[in-house]
Amino acid sequence: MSEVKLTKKDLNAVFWRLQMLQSSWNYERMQSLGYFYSFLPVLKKIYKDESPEERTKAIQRHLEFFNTMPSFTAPILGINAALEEKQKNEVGSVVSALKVGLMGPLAGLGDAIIWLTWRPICFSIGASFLAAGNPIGLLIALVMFNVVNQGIRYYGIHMGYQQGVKFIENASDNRIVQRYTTMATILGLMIIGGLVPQMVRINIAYVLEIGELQVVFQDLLEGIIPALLPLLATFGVYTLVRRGMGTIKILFGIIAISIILAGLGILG
Amino acid sequence: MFGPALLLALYTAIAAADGFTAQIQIGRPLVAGAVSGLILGDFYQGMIIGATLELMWLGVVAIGAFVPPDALTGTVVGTAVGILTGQGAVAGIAIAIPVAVAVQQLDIMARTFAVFFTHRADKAALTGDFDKAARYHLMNLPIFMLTRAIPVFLAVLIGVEYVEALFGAMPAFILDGLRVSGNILPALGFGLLLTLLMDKRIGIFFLMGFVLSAYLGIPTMGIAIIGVISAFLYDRLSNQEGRAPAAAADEKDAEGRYDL
Repeated sequence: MSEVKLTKKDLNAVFWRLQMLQSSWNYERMQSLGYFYSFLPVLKKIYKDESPEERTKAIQRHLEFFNTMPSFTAPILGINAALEEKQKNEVGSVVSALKVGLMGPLAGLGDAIIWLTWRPICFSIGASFLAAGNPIGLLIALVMFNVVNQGIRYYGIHMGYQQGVKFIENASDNRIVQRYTTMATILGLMIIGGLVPQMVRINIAYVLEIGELQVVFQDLLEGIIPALLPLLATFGVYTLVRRGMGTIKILFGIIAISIILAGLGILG
Repeated sequence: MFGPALLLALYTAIAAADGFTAQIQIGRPLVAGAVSGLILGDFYQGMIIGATLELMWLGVVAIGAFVPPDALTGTVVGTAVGILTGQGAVAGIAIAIPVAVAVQQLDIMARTFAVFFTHRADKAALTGDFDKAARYHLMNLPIFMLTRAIPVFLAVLIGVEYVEALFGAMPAFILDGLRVSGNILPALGFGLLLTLLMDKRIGIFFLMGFVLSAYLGIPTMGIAIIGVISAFLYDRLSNQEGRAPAAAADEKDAEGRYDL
């Protein structure tokens, strides 16, 4: 059996093709064809001199159901490349088991870190600039997000290839991932907390007049806790979502209540 | 209106493709609002509408097989309506939501149809031809792009004058109410995101951010820097080695009370 050695160039080709991962996303097998498409440079090199039957086996293995957070597909591709480089189709069942075993945990991790924490952080910082009329927020949001997200894709493939499954075991073993997630969540919570007074505005238009005396409720509230109503509104949504109310319902609820209260002259 | 509609559709197609490919996020409301504003000659208004919709949709995320409302088309059409009718963010937000939900349905259909190409790849696999099987991967991308671009094109070309008439006929108190709700809607995004981020042990940092902003008026970038420092300090203190177990348990109890 001739030895095929993958190069850095092959892995970089996988990195570029990974950028197209979800082009054929569908409900039956989700990213399966995309995974095969990304892995193609590796397969073509490893199975160059193999029979069509062997190639068919390799293709079919990578057309199996697959779905994870796109950027976290990278370490799986890297590990997969190292395995097939050594033993080709003989490790077929190991590769399939590995993909199924890793895609679930990595999807959870990737969603939590990238979609639920890092992207909201980047784009809420960006939005605070744009809301003030400063377009630099676009650059800040896009650069911050992509340095991390593309970094995971690039290093995921190379580290996965070099270190194999150890790479993922190491990362989860000493709780590093958990710690970074907690740190990112703290940052996210503080930014959201800071945005509430800046971005949510609820103004009580109603002014009580007793003879000469005017009671301006808005000023009274601001004097006690600034932005108390925006804070309560945010907590209100939080509570409703946690109790299982759908966001579309809450959305229309907010619009309906706003129209009624504005109509009565309470909010303005 | 043909030219701007075409340009907006073109941008939408490219940004939609990004969502299925490199995901550099040029289809987020923040970017979509600004780009649409630029195309329609009111960059400032586009930034404002984009920022508002971004915050509203901050916690709406495609996870697993869940397909969320299409924020991209919602934002492009919403910004176009807001600018072209002269009604600003109020009309923009009111229109963005139903558009996003409608395109969500189209998206689900497109994602169902896409299985066709995977089956074609299955057939090609039997020949053992790598390139032939891989070729089918990119063929559904134009469909994903068109399911966004066509609604944008039609909505801007045909829809805007109807929306203009609609808003013209609306009683003033409803417009007032919509304006009020537009200022409250970011709370929806924040509340939704909180349900995802909130954790007993660290929930108190939300209040810290709030206080820094509400009382001290520190802008978001400043809060982000204080946030990074706080996160590092928290990590250092909670991961110290050789801490007495009793003390650790005590601390956990004290923190447990901050159940926001």
